Amino acid sequence: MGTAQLILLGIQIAEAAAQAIPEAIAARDAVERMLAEDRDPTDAEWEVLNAVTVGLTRRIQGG
Amino acid sequence: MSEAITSKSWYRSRTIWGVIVALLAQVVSRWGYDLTPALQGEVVTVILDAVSAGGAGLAIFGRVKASKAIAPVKVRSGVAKALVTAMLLGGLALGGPTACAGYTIAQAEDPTPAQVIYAAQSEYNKALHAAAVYVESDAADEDVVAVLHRLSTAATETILDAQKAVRSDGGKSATAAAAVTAAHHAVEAFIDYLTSKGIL
Repeated sequence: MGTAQLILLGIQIAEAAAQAIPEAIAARDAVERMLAEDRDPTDAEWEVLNAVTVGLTRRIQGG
Repeated sequence: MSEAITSKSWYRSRTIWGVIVALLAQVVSRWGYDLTPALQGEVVTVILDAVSAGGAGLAIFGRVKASKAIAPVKVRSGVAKALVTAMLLGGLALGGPTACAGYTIAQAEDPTPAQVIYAAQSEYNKALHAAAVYVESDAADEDVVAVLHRLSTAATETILDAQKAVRSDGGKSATAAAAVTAAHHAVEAFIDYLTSKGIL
């Protein structure tokens, strides 16, 4: 892999990290709500999280 | 029992600096300065080299004690919480600790197993994001992709199993503990591999 490709890949991964930040903030906010309300995640909260997990795993599998 | 853990300093993370430089590039573009992706990559490399050289110099002169902590995180015993801390150790505090559900839960007084697994899975999703971008890149190495394929399959299956276990019985059974332990190992292997390849 050439230097230019490595740099490009680094930038792409950095951009992906930037894209993931809003989701990360939403998850953090959800956790803070759960802690404040002393409750476990709701089914809806789990489903949102699972959709992201499954979707990203499928991308890695190439599907 | 409590134990303290440490994690890689944020300022040693290529990902963090990549994000910062990309954001700065957007800002300076308002004044007509064009920071190309290639130049941004060089800037990040220079920053990391400077950080590395600065750290080495300080260590040589003994002016600082080596410390890998972004901030000390107190972790109570329990395999579920270990899963989150493993992710923090993997450098997954993207966007800084304040944007991190894992960090929030690690700081919490007495989180439930379900809350911990929720935070752990949200941290895992960050790693999946980075892996997905790598796999879809033209620069991806097919051997690395094959390993990521295998490790992500195992990690996703085990973390979903752990979630199912804590949702069904609150994480109190031996079965749930075993499921969370399995998820811990699988996710840790995935994150360790990503880190070893510079993807995280």
